[in-house]
Amino acid sequence: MIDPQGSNGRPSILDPASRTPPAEKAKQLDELRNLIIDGDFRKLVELQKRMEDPAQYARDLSKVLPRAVFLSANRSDQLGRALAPTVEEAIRASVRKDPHHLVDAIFPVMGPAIRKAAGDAVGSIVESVNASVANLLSFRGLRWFIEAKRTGRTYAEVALAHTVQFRVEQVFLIHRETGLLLMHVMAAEVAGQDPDMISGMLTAIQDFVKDSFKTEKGEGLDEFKVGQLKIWVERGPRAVIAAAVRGNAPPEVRTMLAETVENVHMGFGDALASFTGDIAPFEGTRRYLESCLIQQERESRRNKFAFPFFWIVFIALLALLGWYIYERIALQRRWEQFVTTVDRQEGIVVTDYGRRRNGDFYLSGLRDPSAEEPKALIDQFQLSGEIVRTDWGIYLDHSPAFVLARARALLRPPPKVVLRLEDGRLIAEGPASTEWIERARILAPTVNGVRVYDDSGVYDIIATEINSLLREMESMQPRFVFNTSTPIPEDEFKLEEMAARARVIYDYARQAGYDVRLHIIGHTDSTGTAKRNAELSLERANVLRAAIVAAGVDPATVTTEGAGPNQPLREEKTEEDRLANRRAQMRVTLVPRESDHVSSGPPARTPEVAPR
Amino acid sequence: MIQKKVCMLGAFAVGKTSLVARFVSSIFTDKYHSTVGVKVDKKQLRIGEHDVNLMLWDLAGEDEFNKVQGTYLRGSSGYLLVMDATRRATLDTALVLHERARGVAGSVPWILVINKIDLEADLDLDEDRLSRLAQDGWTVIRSSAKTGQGVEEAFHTLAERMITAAGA
Repeated sequence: MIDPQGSNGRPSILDPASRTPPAEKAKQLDELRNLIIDGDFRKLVELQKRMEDPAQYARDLSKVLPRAVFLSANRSDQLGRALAPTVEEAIRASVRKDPHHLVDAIFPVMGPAIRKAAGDAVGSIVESVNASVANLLSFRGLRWFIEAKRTGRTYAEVALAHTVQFRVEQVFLIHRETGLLLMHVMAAEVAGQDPDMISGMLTAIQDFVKDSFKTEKGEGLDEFKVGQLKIWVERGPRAVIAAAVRGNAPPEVRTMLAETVENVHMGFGDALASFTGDIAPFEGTRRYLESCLIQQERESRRNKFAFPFFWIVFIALLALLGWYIYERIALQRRWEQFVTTVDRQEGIVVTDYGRRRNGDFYLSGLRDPSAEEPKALIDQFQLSGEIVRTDWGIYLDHSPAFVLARARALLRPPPKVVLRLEDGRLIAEGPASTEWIERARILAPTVNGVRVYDDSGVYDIIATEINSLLREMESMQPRFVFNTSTPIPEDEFKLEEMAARARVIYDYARQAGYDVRLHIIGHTDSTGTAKRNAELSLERANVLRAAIVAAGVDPATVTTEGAGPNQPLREEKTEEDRLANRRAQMRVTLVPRESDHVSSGPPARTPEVAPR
Repeated sequence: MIQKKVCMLGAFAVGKTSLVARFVSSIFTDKYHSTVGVKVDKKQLRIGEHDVNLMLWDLAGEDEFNKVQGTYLRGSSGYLLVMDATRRATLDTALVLHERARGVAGSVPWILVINKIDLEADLDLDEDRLSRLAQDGWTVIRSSAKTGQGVEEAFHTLAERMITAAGA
């Protein structure tokens, strides 16, 4: 810095008032100035000129502006803020002039950005829907839920994937301005009309809609629909994708089409812009379009093979379960019917029944010894496969049938004797042996339930019937011709008479509880040899025996003996005496039947209904 | 394979549809005209060493054309101006349409087709104007959709022009 006064107060050489006159001083000063700053001065003038010349100044500024902007941007955001209004105005102007440039520029990034924002928004909605949908716990829903958990996808995604069925049948890539077809792909087995013409008409229809109805710029037919077939149209600035979709395609398919349009613009932007009719450069779009040919088949169709197996197993399990439950119920019902039936039986009182935890059935109560053990009923009610445990206390049933059964078991009446019970009074009627009559009188009053024993209707068959017959038969002694076993003619009838009586005796005896034993003894007169007489006497006994057996008497009960001349009926003084001795006689023995005397056996199990 | 969009332009009832019908076998019926106002047909041609697909946009008459304001013309590589040999006024319409087409599609090849030339008794043509147009470089082809005269020639000529114009 120059201090004109100097710091020490001395006059400076520049002091105009000190030595020289003013004019001279000015001249001197100019010269001095020229001497000192001559070169710099020219530069200054030149600089001023450059700054005052706009063209030159702009040129200079353009050299440093990029760098200045760069530095400024690094330093602070002031420049950005300052430029913002200008840039905005520039964009507005550009859009006003021709929006296509801007659309062209930002189209490839616009779609993804919008989709991302929309996707985030929709995502949160879908999540809330997930929660409510997840509650729909149908069988199918449960399966989807599991699949979602397994694959890590959301429930809604899985549900959508399973419910949506569609097929993208054809995809057209159409040059937007000319409506000419750039590429066309078609799913297998789809019959299609000439795609070139369809492409033209699609474009024509688009134009028609745009012209006929006032639409915003960039808008158009996004979709048209005929029944299950939809045409989805996704527009880019220079090309359009139209897809023929059959069925209910999810919105993701639409997104996919939009992405395809973007990809085509990204990869074929130049070719699209300079398109003059040659479609060869667009062969490369085929793979983009083919990736759009997707389909989602109906789930049931996809599970064609799984279907029968799954349902057969399911139905079989269901049937098994149903059968099991039915069996359980049926078993329980049979068991209860069994218990009811047992309880209704005479001589049995059921006091408790049920089923133990281990599955065994149990039944307990009281049973008269004469009552039937209910084993037979177990089979009748198809319980034989089950374990049925019974526990009976013994009691004596006083119902008539049981009293009679007890009486019958104890008394063992002969066949023709009928027992009946009237108000505690045991009445016996019919023919019986003397022994039985006596025994019954002793035993009958001891039968539980019998107050009085009345045998006024019983008669002693031996005393009344058999004895007289026996006497008659024993008195008939047929006589034989000398030295033969032929009965004399006047005694032949005796053989038949004796046989007839024997049969009656057997009948009566059986009724009275006796067995009959017949013993036939043959005799000779005293003439002849002993040996001959022994033979002859036995022959005569056998002749009588044959006649009796022929009448139907059990041969095993008939024995014979030849007595020879040893038991003469008379002393042989005359021929008549000898004839009287040539005879056969019969002895009858009644043996009380063996079983009738065995009365200490167990009581009969089956109570017989007493004949009335 | 080269694809070209071609528009059929002309006044009402000059026979545009008949010309196309003569030239191609269509998959769309004529009903399209009354419904969407346009029908698109295809004709495959071999021009030199090129396979060319002509996509023929047959617009529905002049009135319809006014309504649609030329949207259909956009992207056309060429167009046929069709007039009626029995109605000289249809040339005026064709010229108006020509101007509109140039405005929308730019400078692309075109051909003037005088249709119904078989109706000799009823011919009503302003030959002076026609010859002036020819002098101006217009290609004028006389045709009959009924007899087939000039039809193939018209489309072929236009196709050749378009291929040449595109430098393909």
